[in-house]
Amino acid sequence: MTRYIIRRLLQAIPLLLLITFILFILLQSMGDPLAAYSGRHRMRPEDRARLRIELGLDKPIYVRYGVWLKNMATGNWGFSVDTNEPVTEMIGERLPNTLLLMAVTEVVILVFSLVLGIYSALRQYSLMDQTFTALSFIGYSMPIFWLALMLIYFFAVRFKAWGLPYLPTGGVYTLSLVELGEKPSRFLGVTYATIPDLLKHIVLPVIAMSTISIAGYSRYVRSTMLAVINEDYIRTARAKGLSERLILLRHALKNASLPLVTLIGLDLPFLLGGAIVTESIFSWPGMGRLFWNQVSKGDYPVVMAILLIISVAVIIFQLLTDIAYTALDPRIRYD
Amino acid sequence: MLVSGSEDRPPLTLTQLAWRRFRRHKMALFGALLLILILLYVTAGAFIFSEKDANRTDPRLGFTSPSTEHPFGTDRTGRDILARTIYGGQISMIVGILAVVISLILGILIGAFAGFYGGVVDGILMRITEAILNIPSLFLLILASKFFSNKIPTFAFLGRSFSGSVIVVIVIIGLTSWMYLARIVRADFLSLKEQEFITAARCVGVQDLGLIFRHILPNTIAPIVVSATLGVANAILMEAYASFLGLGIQPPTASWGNMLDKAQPYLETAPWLWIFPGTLILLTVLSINFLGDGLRDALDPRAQI
Repeated sequence: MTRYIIRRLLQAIPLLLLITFILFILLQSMGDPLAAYSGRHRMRPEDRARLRIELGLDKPIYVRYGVWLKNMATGNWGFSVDTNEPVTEMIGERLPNTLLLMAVTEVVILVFSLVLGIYSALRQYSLMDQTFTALSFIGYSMPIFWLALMLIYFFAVRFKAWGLPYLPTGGVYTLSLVELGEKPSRFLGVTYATIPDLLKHIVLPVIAMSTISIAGYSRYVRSTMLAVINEDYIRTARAKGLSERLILLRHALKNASLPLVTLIGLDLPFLLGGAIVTESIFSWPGMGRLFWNQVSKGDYPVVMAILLIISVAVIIFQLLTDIAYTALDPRIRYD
Repeated sequence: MLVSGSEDRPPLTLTQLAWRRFRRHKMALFGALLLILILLYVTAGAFIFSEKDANRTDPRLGFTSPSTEHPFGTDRTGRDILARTIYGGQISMIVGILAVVISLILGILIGAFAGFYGGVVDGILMRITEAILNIPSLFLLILASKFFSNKIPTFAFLGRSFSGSVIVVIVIIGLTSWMYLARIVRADFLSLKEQEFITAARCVGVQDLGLIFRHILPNTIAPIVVSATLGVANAILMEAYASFLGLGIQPPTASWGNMLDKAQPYLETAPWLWIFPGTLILLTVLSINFLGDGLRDALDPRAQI
């Protein structure tokens, strides 16, 4: 097992290098890096040529990539071209917010997909099952930003007009609370006012991000569960006299959740992408929004750093998923 | 001879079998019907409203809510939303279909060669596929859009003008969605190339390329068709995402995605700006998903009837 992990980690390194190299090349085409340094005064051609040589921009691309790689590995992540802050600080401020959103979303997806899928499987072809199936098709076909806009429109804007308690349209904490003397607290890097306030702010983004995945996964759980329930070992367990509940929780669930674990682990890239749109719409101060803002400004250091973090996260998650796979199914052994 | 008529009827072809299975799926039929209706809407509608209607601005009429004159209302510069959804729909459909064509070509070629030749070729092709697969597609989309931005001019085709960004969007979406298909095709090729009919064909002297395209490929049509159908839905969604972020189709060419983008500041005051294009996207993608689901069941090679 440890040998497998070590082997996977070793395999992951060339993959990571390949990915970052492709991204590096793509970024080079985003425009002249020196353009961002021009500021209000136009740069003289001599200065431009001099800076090019000084900053090493005339070297061939693999040399530049190598330098970038060395710097990233040694912790020298550079400074933002846009705000001149150290990149590590900029990302460090935003990362916990995105992690919070991701973690809550993943938990919600896992719980709801399992619950809805299992319920649909147990009550196959009932009215609820048909309704859920239809709803999941609809949920699966929605663009995430449309869903987000609808959510904001109904729960934030319309509710307020109708006088109902309403949810805020964005941000992590309500400014007014802070002004009234409540000091914003920090927990693991996330700044918030009070826990209930944080919950109010996180509800809509989580719903927006999780609905599409829940729609897809619950159907998957349903079909897997249907296949598992008809297996012989479930029939044996029933014949032995185990209660339905115990059968469900101990036997069926483990087997049904196996493919789900794999899928959710591999879903991370999609969630990260969805985070860009969701964070922008809800003004959530996270990495997705940072990426989006900085890409428009051509801010290489920040953009490449975020892409590196994401690539590493995706690869690690794939590895974790495979390991979880062996934990759930003892028949699977990698040598 | 005991069962009358049993020798007279010819056996059903695969297509006929698939069609029979497909007919039993109520949802798939509904999806197909809905899709045909939407296609009618965007093509026939073009005969009712000319393109000038779609792009005619009249600032005095800006922001009128739905009325008999403008059934879907007008946008900020007074353009009729109904006409814009028709022409925007044309763009979204064209982008969806052409992007899938590109990803089909790439996916099939890469999957076929990787699966057929195996070894080093397979290793390299699959490493590249994995690498691109690991990058979230939205990131790729953003980066690639910046790469291509503003390099292709507006052109005219079949009587209406297209912004150059349409080609850019088609190419980008095509380039970022071939990976799943390549994996599926490769898996099929790996298993099919060991079968006896391939050995027989080789004995008769069929060359590699012939084997790939005339013998193995026709047997992998089922997952390709399903993947292509669902790919159109995905491409339409991707176009909506890209246009929403401002990277896709550039105005004044309309597309459902960029109509949604323009509607964002007017969420509360003019909901008709985003309700109509958004619902159309939803209905289109929904119908394609139903259709693809039905196709998947109908073309399943392991089905009984």
